[in-house]
Amino acid sequence: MRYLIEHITEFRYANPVSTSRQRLHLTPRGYERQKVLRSTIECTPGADGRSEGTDYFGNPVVDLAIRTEHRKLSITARSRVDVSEQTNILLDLSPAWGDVAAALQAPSTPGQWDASRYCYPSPWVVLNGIHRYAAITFTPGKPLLRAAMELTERIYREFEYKGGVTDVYTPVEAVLKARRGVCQDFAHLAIACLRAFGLPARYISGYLRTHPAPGQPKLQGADASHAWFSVWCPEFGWVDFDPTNNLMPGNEHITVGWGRDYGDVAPTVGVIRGGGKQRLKVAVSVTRDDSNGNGR
Amino acid sequence: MTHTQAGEDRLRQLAAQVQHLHNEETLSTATPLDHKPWRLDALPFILPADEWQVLEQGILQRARLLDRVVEDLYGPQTLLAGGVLPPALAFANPSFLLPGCGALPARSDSRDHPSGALSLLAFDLGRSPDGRWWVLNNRTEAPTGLGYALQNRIVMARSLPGLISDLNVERLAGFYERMSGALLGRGASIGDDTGLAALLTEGPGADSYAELAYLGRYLGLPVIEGDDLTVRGGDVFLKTLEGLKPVGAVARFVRSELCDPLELKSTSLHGTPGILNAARRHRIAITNVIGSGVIENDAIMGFLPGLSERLLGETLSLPSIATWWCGQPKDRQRVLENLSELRLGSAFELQRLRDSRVHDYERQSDPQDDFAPSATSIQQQPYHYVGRETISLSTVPYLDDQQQLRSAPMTLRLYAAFTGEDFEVMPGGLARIAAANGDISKDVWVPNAAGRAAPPPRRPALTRRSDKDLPSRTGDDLFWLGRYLERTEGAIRLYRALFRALAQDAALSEGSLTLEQITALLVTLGHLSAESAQNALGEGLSGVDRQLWSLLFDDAGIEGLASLLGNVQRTAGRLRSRLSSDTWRLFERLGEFPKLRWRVDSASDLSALLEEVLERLAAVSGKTAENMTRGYGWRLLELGKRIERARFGTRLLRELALDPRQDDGGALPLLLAIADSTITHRARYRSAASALTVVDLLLVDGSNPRSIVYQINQMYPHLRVMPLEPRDEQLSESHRILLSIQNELTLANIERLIMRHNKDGRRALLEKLLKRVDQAMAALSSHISRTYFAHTRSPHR
Repeated sequence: MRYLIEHITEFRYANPVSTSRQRLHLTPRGYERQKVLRSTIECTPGADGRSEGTDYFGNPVVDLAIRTEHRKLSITARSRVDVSEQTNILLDLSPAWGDVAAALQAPSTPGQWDASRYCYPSPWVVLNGIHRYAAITFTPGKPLLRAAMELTERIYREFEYKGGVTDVYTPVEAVLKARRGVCQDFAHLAIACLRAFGLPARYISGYLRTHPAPGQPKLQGADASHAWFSVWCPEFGWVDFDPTNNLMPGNEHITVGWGRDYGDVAPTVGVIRGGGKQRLKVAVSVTRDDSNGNGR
Repeated sequence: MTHTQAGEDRLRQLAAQVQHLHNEETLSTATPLDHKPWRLDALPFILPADEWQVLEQGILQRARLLDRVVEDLYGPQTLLAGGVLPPALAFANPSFLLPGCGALPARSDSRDHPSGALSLLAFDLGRSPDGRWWVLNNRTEAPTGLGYALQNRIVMARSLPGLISDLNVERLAGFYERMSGALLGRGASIGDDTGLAALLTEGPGADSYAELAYLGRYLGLPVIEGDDLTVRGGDVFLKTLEGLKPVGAVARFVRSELCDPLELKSTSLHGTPGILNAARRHRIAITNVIGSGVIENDAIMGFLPGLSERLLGETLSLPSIATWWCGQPKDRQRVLENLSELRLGSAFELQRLRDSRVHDYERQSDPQDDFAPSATSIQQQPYHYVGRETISLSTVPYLDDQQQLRSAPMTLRLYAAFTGEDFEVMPGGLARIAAANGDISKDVWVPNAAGRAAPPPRRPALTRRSDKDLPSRTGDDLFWLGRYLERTEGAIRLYRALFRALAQDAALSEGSLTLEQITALLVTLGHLSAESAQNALGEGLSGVDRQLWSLLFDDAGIEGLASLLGNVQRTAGRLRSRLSSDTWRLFERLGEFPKLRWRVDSASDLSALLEEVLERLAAVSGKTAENMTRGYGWRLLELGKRIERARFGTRLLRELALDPRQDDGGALPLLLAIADSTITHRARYRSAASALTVVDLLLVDGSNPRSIVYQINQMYPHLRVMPLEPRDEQLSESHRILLSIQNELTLANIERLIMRHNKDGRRALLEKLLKRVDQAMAALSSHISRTYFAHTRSPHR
């Protein structure tokens, strides 16, 4: 499936900003299931400095430096991306979660070594107070991917999707207590549950198709950035789950990047001088691209 | 050996002398946040040559080893990928900072040399009663104490010069020199040999700032903060008064996670956005590398012998205190089975030098401790915990407060630094003993073994730096110090004059000011809120009187002298490393003023006290300026004073000389008194003050050092030589501002300014002129800020 994505971020400041630096995770990464045909980032006022690279996890990053005084900064990222389905996965064929956790304590293959980096608490995913909630799902001997799916269903069922009650700084333990939040809270919670048992889970930042295919319901989180999680399992590799919508992402989820948690792949991180109070507006649109272009 | 009475007396004398010198040198009064200083013991800790050689070799080996490990963790990660180190050691460790990966300093040649990813390491050692040395911990993040060690040696060398040379104690200077030489070398490798090197600190608020300022002064390296640096076009620059200067290397004493708000902790106020990216591209060497604290913990200890075999092909020569990291199943089992005999600790967090205590190593876990995890939490997140054996430390003698000989257990801190190609161990260190009442440190002496080459003589002093490299922030602080000093002086003159006026008012003498005029003056000059003024007036004379007292002595108020002195103190505190101890002491004494209220019983006491404060201010001002080289910093201090004095004068004239009806009501004498020009006026005009004579004297008399035109005349020569002013025919913005206001004042017809009134009877022409002076001063101040401190573009351009 081919998509056109437009992600507009707009900051308005009460006072003039004299210098601004922005680190952007707005360029979708390519990987087995996803091909990035084109991706551009523009900003107003224009950037005095710009550098592109990849972060520790291999996600594309763009750094901008703006030294023209401004009260409004707008950043527009446009991409064209091909996404394919996750192959059909038989959850019950996956190995017992306990065996996976044990193997990753002393990884012996490149796959295990890669995955072992995602088994521990990270700045935004602290495991305190998580164990008991997670233990309901992680009963001895259960196949890892089955457990991940059950966790996805539980979070979907037991938590209310509600914007405005949490922000990016809300700790997982507080979300667990409040029983509500948004996609990134649910992703963080699921990741915390897996890691509490030493299992590898990573955070995926991305988008959903804005208007669903005919006859399909509109998904939660379609008009902004979306987030879900991924579990590593021997033989299967990384397998995605979306607890916000209770499903395994197919070709309607577009991946921007992944890391241990939100902090590793926040769409924009900025340091400004001046500015005072600021307002942020984000608009995302993801439309199906039916043109036959090859990315030009 | 027995102590004779004479020997003990000599010892006490010595102790007193050491303490005296130590107090004089002491670093701790150097920070605005006063930490209780460590006491320096008169008895050095002497390491016999053979014992020293073993320690030196062991420390050297560890430094090389830890450098390798850090280089790998932030580089290819072969130790992790190859299963030599378990992933939890890195990925469960909050000090392992992923953005630091790849930000290693450039490596010149083969992998046989250490990389210098760590440029400074410290090791805390303990000696068990059987005489064996154990490493208690490795400090790889940003070790502190190097300044203290230096200070201790300087004090001891002054107290016991004979003994030091008799024993042929190894000197420390060479170590410090080679360490800074390596940093300078790295710095220079950037920007065609022009790259600077500096010590990067968290600023005066941090515990270690005082000793780093001391160290920086000794090494001749600028002591800077993250905000002094800016990343432009991928390169790192120091914002200096001469513009942006490339920086090629920093010795990092800022906690890793605070170094780059763009990639690490975004709320950090001590960082430089973009510096990590610059380090990854080898545009700057940051050492110790960001995240080097990844192995400053107890969890790594058990892996060191194996790592040493693997990476160096050598047996680890200095053993570590035994630790069992619960991240390993076997060790976990052992800890859980022996909970009562071990000291349980956090696997990844070590206490800082100041907070760590000798008995942490001697005592077992105490259920009363904050840190007492349950067996369940150890099972659930085992990688967070470590068990450590407890050891008893051998004791050493010291002198207590009463100069009595006592003994207590001791730990020893040794340092290793990267000196260009390899590490070198400092032949000395910091010995610490936990005495009953506070920590005591000892200088560490290593007598030079016979036959060992004498240390090379000290090279001539490092290249003298001029104000060229003066950080913009320092310039900014000096500029504002000038302004605050002058502002405070103006305020005191104002308060003093008002007190006198008030006393006259009480006596109902002729031509005195009304209470309304007095409070109005305080409000418009910004010393009092309109609300406080209203309240004071409501209570009449006593209310206004009380208000004035509280402006002088209320040290909690946001208005008044205490807050002005607070500004002076704070700004001076940031400049601490550039002020001599004498000057700093004057600043401290100045700050004591509001506490001196007890000395005031009568109006004449107050007058005397205010006189004293003015003298102290003059002393501080004079001393600050006197001890500075006539460079840009000094010029900025002067410019700050002049701008402030001109603004103050302008505002006084606007309040007291614009209304002809006030001329006979005491306004003019008050004006002269506040402007400290009463005597000059008397000498110059030999007549009573009139509006004409007062305005002439205070506004346009170029020979009166208190006049406004005098301030402007004085500014011109300073600005003319400032580095970023255009040198060609073209006038810079600042010159234009100054010249135009100078012309206006010189050509002003004072009689006309005084005589011309507008409809409300005010001197409108004079008012306009004063307003233009005020605006010019504001414009000049903002021009200086933008050009020399912020290095940003003007929004108008």
